[in-house]
Amino acid sequence: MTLPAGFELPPDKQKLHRKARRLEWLTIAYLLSATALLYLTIGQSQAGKAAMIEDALSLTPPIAFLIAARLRDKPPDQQHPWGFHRGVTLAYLASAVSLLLFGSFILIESTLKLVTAEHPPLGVIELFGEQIWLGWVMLPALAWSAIPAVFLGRAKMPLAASLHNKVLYADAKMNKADWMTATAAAVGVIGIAFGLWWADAAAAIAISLDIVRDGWTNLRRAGRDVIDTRPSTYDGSGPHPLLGQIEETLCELDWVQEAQARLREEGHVFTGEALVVARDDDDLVARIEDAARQIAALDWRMHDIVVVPVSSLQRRPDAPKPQVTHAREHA
Amino acid sequence: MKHPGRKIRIAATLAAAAGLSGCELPRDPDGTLDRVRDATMRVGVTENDPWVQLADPDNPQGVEPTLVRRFAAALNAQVEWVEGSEEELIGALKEGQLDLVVGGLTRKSPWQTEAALTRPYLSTRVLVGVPPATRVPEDLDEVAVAFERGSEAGGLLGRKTDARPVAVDQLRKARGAAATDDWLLDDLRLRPTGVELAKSDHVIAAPLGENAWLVRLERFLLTRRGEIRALLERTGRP
Repeated sequence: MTLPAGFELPPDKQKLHRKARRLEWLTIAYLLSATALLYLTIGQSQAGKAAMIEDALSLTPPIAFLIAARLRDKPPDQQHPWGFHRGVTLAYLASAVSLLLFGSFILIESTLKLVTAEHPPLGVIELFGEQIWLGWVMLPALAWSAIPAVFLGRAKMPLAASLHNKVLYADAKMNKADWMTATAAAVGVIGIAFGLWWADAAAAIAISLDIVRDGWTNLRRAGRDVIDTRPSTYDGSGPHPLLGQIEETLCELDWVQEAQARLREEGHVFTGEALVVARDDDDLVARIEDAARQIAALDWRMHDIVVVPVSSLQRRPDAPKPQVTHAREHA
Repeated sequence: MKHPGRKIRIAATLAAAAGLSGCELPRDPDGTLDRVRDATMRVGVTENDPWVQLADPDNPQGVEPTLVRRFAAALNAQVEWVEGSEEELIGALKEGQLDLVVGGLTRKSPWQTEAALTRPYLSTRVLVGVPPATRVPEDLDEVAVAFERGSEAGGLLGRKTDARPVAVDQLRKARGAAATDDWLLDDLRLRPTGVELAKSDHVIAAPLGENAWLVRLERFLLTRRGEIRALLERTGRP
């Protein structure tokens, strides 16, 4: 058995992946335009600022996705025997931390503004020789930061499912929820127009709570990746079925008495080990290589599996059923 | 689909806003505009020649008091002048005891979080000028440039150019190149060199969040840029 080289997607997934990449580039261009438009129009509105920061931070998942797409093509070398898949986890963690920090920052700032009753000033802007109140200009800018995002999110969601890509999924979810932020900010602005100064800070608090929640959810997911938690489905709703499939496949082989596997997720591929207890030692090397090939064929994400023969297996205390468990570190 | 519906609603709001512009919205949380109209406007002044000249504190002169009087006339209001330091005045403004503060404030003012600064109504620059017939190297290398003692121009000259700054008490008496405000160049019979040392965007301070008031003032100022420039050149003459 040789160590695997670079990872390639099956042809049908490659096409989807190219589509996802195009969508992410489009997202970056769109988010840059939305952020710039808000930057020019928010004046001193706290809710506008929160919406702008959220748009700017929404840039991190598409960037992480595109970096990951690059790293995927890079084969492992002497210095990086596991390849570069983990780079994605790093990008994901960084974006989660920035969401959490920025969200908390706006939350604290807006709360202070509300408590100290600081009234948001919004003056006029000159457009085409006309002086227009900034609030009226903010509303279409907020609409631009809301409506296209929803359609981008909807377009990405099915791709995230078929590519099993968590970064893409998190991104699509954030885009889909973007209209809430913009609507909250618009409510704040309309509040200012009617002389309700507190509406702005209140809207900003609502938005920042949403950013903090996004940050927290993503931080937990990224943290789970870092400590190699059992792989889950792309939306995190349950354990990935592959683990069970591997153990079943191994146990169905007539020379295998017992088997245990453990997998970790590296970006969008799986690596791991399977421990097997053989009934006899006949032709063991060929059997093991064949078992590894069978496992690799189970799923396109199964990238690197090492099958190891052992004399006996030790069960985990929380293991539900003898065959379908993860293996403990075995001496 | 509710999203296109939202777009239409926003467009409708905007159209309504355009139709109503100037009257109803935005409103003041504390009603400053309504209180000042046909009544009294309380204005804080702090000395800053030529923007605010307080030779007679009860009758402030300069660019900004003149503008304030014209603005008050447009609202059919009287002006009540209050003299003080910038910090005192901004404090009073924040607590709703003043309606405006003038004193040559610029957008770089540290009071951004304490007061609503208007959109700049005028930009001025500090330039290096030379007598019409003289030629100087583009980087002003080793050229003696006069500046008024104690003004920021001296420091800027040293930091941004290779010129040799020369402090003088009166620019009028200096010969050769000088660094000074753009509106003074003509009077000093100097021609600008294209070396710009600083740019100031001039603003007036209003209370935070009194948006009807702020919008009214900004509209007043922004439609009078040419008039304000002329006012400056007249008032700023040394």
